[in-house]
Amino acid sequence: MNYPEILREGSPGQKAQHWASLAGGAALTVFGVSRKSWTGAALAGAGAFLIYNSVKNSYWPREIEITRAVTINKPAEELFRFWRNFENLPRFMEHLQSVTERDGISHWVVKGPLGKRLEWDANISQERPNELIRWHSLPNSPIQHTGWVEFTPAPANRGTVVRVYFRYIPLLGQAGAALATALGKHPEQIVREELRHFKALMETGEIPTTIGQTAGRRGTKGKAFELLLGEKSRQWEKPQSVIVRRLPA
Amino acid sequence: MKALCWRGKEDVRVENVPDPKILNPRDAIVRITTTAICGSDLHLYDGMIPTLSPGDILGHEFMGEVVETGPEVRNLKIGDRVVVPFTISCGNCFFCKQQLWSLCDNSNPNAWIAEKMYGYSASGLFGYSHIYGGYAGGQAQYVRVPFADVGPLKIESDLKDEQVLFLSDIFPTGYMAAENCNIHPGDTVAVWGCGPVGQFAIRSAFLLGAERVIAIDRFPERLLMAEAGGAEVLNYEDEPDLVEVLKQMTGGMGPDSCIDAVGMEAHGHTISAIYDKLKVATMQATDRLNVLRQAIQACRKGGTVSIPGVYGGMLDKVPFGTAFAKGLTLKIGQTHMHKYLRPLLERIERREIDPSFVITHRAPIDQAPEMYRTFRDKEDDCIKVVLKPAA
Repeated sequence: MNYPEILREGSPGQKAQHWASLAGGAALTVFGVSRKSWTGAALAGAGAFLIYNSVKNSYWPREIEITRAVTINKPAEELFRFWRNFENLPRFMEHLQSVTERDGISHWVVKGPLGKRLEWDANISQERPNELIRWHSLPNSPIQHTGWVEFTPAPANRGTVVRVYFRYIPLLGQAGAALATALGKHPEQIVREELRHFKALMETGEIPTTIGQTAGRRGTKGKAFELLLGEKSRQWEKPQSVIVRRLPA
Repeated sequence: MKALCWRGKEDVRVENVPDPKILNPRDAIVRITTTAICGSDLHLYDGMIPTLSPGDILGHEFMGEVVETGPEVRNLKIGDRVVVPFTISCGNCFFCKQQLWSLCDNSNPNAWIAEKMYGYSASGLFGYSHIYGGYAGGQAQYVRVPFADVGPLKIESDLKDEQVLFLSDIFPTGYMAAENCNIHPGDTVAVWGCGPVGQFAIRSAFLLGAERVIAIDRFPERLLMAEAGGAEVLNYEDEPDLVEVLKQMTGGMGPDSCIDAVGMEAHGHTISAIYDKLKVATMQATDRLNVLRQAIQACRKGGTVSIPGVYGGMLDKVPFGTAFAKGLTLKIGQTHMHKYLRPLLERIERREIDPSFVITHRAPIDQAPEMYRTFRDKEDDCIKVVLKPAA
């Protein structure tokens, strides 16, 4: 198969321009809407145009590569066992919808926008019990995905250092766009948060949250803030997040 | 239920909001019987803390009765009377296990925000803006308490609410500030700030064996309360050279340890204080540190400067050369609440201290907005406000 040329991220100047117009547009829109006047509507319109413009001309990274480490106060065996059962991964990796395993092949599904799904198969290329798991997607996948996770004892009985590496190369433009939107604009941020959730889940049995908590009326500014932080208070009357069950002992 | 919501700078209102619900297996719901306004709530009120959102419920000093528990909470049952510490700690991470409870890794759902500001995130807090998790606070009729199997302290004696409420924040805070001073018999401790935390720091210093405590403030009612606790008092508005006065009061050595129970909203009339005000007003600095400067300058060589006062940003013109020249120890940070809850409850039960001395005002929750103003402007000799939510 001939792979098309992998397009790298935009230059720093492009990135800065993109962020400035996105942030400026967002701020202008929120400010305009909160004014509740004709001037406000005009400002909001200008802001919306800025956002549209920046999205249209955005650079979307074509190859995503992230590496990250965290120290977890649990023995390597416990962490390895949990991670090795790939069906557990969506419990702390929000970008994954499901991972199922059969006959040594794992099937990965990533949530896309508007209910679209991105799917591929992978197998384990290397496994050292309680130390390392390395996997890669099979040929003919719409996405070339490889990753490894390494477990090493932390000093002084602090538990285990978990080091993670992910690489996604979408081979078709459509897959690239879907992946980028699914992962959001900050793949590094996604991985950082997912590792944080892994640590919380393993150490405490749950992931800290305020989604679904009570609050006063939010108003425009409050709702925008909530959107930014990914929190949802009960004023929005959306269903609560799933309660994460404690691991069996 | 009724709850006190932040709406904007100097704008808090009692509103009707949905009752809290169990969200995670280790949660509990507490019906609040008594709550209070903290000095640090005034930083929120004055708009000095970023990441507050309209509709946020404030309040982090509260106690009450357990009305619901999540499936993994086994040590509490419905009807238990509890005081809840304001820091939320999981009990499982490295920091909790080291008794560094306020540095918990796993209790801040917005840890990424704190990491952007400070590099690492400490524990979540009740009702103290989204950097610290954005948890709904306890100036309300009900509250959701995460990690309820770790935080809440059961009260099984017939001590009144007002006698144990301050285990939720200010008593352990003042106590840890004094403990951090590493007090030896015969020591003199100087305490800047005679607000509620300072008052508990004064009394804790004596409990921990200090021989003299010198308390510094400018409000007569606060100095009076400090004197009632055994301190010698100084009104800094009457002392143009406070550092020199402290030196002479201590036989030329300086106090053995100094407690900054004021933090980043320090006041003063010295040139350095005016400089601070100008810098903050023109957004060139975030914190005012007149008190910290004085504490560093006054402390004896080899002494300890203990800082429970809240600081948020960057400091300018800290006499660090002085600190180095004198070989000072600086101990600073958020209270490790869970380490002190039981020992301090025992002290209250043994009648060594009755924390209710600090209360000057009591009000139903509907009057909370006015009480914020009264507390902030120190009107009517206000030192500590306690609120009753069940009105």
